[in-house]
Amino acid sequence: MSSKSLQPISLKRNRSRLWNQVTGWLRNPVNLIGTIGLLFLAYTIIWPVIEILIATFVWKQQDMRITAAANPGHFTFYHWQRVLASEISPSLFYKPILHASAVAVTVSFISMVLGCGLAWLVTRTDLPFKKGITFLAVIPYLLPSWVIAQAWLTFFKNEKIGGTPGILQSLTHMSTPDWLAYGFVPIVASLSIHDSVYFFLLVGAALSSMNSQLEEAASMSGAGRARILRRIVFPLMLPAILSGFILTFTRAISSYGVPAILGTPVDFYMISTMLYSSMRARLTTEAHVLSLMLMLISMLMIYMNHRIVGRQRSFVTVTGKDSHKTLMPLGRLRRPMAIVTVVLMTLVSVVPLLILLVQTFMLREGVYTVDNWTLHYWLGGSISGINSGEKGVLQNPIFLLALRNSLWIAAISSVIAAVVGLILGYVAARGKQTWIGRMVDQVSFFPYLIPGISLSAIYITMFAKPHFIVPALYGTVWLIILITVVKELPFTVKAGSASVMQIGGELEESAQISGASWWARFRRILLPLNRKSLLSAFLLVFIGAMKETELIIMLVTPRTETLTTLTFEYVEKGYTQLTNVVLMIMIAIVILVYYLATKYGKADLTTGIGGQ
Amino acid sequence: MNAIELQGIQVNMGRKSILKGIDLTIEQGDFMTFLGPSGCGKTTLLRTIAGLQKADGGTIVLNGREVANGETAYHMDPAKRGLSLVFQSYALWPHMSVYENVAFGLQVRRQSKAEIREKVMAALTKVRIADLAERYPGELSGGQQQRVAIARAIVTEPQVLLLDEPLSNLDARLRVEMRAELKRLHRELGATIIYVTHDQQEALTLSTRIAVFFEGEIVQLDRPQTLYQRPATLQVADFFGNGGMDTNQLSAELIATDGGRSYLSSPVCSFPLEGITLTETMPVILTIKPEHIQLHRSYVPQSVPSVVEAVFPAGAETLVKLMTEGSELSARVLGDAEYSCGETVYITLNPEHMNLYNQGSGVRLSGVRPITPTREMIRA
Repeated sequence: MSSKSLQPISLKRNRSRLWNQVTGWLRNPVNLIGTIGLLFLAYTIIWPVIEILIATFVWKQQDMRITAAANPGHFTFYHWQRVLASEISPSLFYKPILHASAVAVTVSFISMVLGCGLAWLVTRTDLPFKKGITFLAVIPYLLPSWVIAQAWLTFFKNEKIGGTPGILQSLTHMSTPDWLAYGFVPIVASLSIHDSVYFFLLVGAALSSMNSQLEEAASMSGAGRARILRRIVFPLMLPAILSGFILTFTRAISSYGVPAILGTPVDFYMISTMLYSSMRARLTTEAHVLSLMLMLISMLMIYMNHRIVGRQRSFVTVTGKDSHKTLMPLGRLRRPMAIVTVVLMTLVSVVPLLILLVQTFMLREGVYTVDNWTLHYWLGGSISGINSGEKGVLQNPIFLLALRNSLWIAAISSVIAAVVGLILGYVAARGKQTWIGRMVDQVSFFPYLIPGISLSAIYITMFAKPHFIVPALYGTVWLIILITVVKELPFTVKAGSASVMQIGGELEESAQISGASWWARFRRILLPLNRKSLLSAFLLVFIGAMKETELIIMLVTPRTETLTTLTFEYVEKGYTQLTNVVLMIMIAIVILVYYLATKYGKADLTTGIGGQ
Repeated sequence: MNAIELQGIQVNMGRKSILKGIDLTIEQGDFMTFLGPSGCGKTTLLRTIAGLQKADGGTIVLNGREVANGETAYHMDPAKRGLSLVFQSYALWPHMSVYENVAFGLQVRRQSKAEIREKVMAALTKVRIADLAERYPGELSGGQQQRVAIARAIVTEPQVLLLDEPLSNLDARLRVEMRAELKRLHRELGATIIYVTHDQQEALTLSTRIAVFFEGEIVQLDRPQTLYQRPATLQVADFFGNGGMDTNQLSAELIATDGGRSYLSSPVCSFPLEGITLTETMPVILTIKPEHIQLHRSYVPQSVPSVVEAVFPAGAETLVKLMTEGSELSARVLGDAEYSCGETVYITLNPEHMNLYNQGSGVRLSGVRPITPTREMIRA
């Protein structure tokens, strides 16, 4: 009898226990926000990739035109076979992948040497003009990578693709050889100039936080300079160098703008340019296979990095603490070194910009006479003989639309990305012990592995039509904002979690005991204390969004034209001066924002790209 | 009325059991100290009471309200429990001024500006830093930061104030000063205080009651005087010994005589005992505090000769290390003591202040008392 009367009570007890457990679990902000964050990540990252993966194994309607064996909606290996093992696969896959890998590896090595060398000079020696050199080194990063390609072409162009030959040819009256004008060499050169900044920032941050007593201790043991560099400095810098390598490699292998300008004229395809032309040729499924292969390569690289760096993590000498630093005297070399560095940096950072700027004032390209000077491309109206009547940039409504779109996209997405990064970073940092925190940390890293061009290929398919409660975003700026936020997540979440980690949990707990809700804590404690990191993330995304090409080139429609895509369109049409005018305006905006953010907000780019 | 009732509190972290069933009742107005070495679970228990840590088992009742129940997984939000916590690191918000730090809790409770101003200034006055209201935490000394942290905790007039090793980051002089402040605040506020520390002196000075923790369990709960005089186990005695309050420990035996009487036999003393009946000889540990050993220049009845090994003058008192019958002893003497090394002195021990522990289990033999020696016995 007693058991009978007890049963309802224990049942009720169990139900209330479950209820309490669930509400208790959800009341923990890490779990609640983590769950929402994971749903967001699953929808924007994991689900699209899975969908694409499945799509590559299914016959499409349009396959019926190619082969009679097609059976729409049914399983097939046809697409994979077509890309990897058919008569078109050498030109569709193997050659582009070979080109891309060769370019990526070469670029990574060259950037490593340039970036590390420069970082060492700036942080560890008594080189003069350090501030100026640092600024010069960051300039290429503020530009879209293909601006350098554009400048390269202005200088080295030959008659192959028509139009006016480049400056070199005008000066020497000799045809510039193809290998110097197009293809592998100029692509590698342009990308290396742009990407060495990653090494410079990452290794620079690591070097400046390394205690120089470690070097002095080696020196006391009788080691020479070369040996200290090789045995002490290099091993300690290895994690930073490797992450720079990965960053450069994945960016270079999936870069689109540079190979499109410098490779396509001589049929030098990289996987990204091939992907783009496959999309344009309506070979969507084949393009998806290419995307997946590109992702696979990036994943392999990251995996290898983890294998190598994983063992290196035990080094604790690179702490965030302010440590004693002794600068290495360069002695007699000090002045010559400084001059060489400044001249070289000017050559790669300022000269390309100047070339492009001067171009904007020339009515006809390559004619260096006073009567050729004009402001037509800036202010002029429509003259049918020039650029098919395209108006000067500042008069052109398309430009104004693109400017407004660009600013709008960059501003909105950088604010959203910075805040989302901080919130997810909060979950990753505070939830380090829980599965949900680790999941958020890892999944938010995933877009890093997805090359921009692949991600946009996926998003086109996914958001072309309404999806659950999400309307068809294709054709609106919101799709571009969404993809920018998602693509930058690995950087913003990393910056956010690093920053939250530095704020002791007790600061938040004391607010919690004072009765503050999570939102109040976030607004009044976390947000102000993370201001600097938030601003850095904002700056990083803003610059990224302003110069973004790969990611959005396939997504824009005439209504959502941005400055980069407009420029790119001008490039394709051969409107050199107009291209350069738009570029100049874009660069001016980026440099202005960079200056304001670093000057008044103490923003720091290194926190975003993975500096300690 | 009982302010806090804990029943069977269990907390696990991963597979490790941090608290293994804590039962404790704290009365309204108590100054309760959780004392123990680091890693014993005292801070975890404090955080569990505060609600920052979930209890995996047991119940917590605050002022008659159940705030946590491990069985039904009920967990009340820390903010609703009506308590405040002062963190070891102070956890002052660096981007807010002292005033804003203290006002925060009232602002989130949406009180009026004037009311907040009045309460904040009252709290700051109570901890005597009203003149620092506009400063930022980074501009304050450790002691001042400590006062801000306390002001922030008391401004919401909590019924229970939790303090987690609040003095451990201060230098010695400030620590003594802040002890007096805390005592004054406890008297003025009349709130129940739970205080976590690993400092024995601090615990003895401040508390009305002390709970001693070892490995997730309370091993003794007593008034400070009792705790000091009668540690329940050798472990507790040792722990107090490590805090600069050394205790002499000697191996001894309890011997049963034919008459049913028990005797203590040790190298330095022996006397009959009551309150215990023995069937065979029992090895015990005898402890006595240095201040309960008297030194004599010449022989007195019941005294044992000892050789002075070292002398440590410390101003108000002097610690004398002795070698007695092969055992090392320390004696504390008030004022200057002019002893030289190698000198022979005679010591007497007051049996009333001795404690006897079971050598195997380390538990104190309670109820065992020396029979005050009578004249006849001494003569015999």
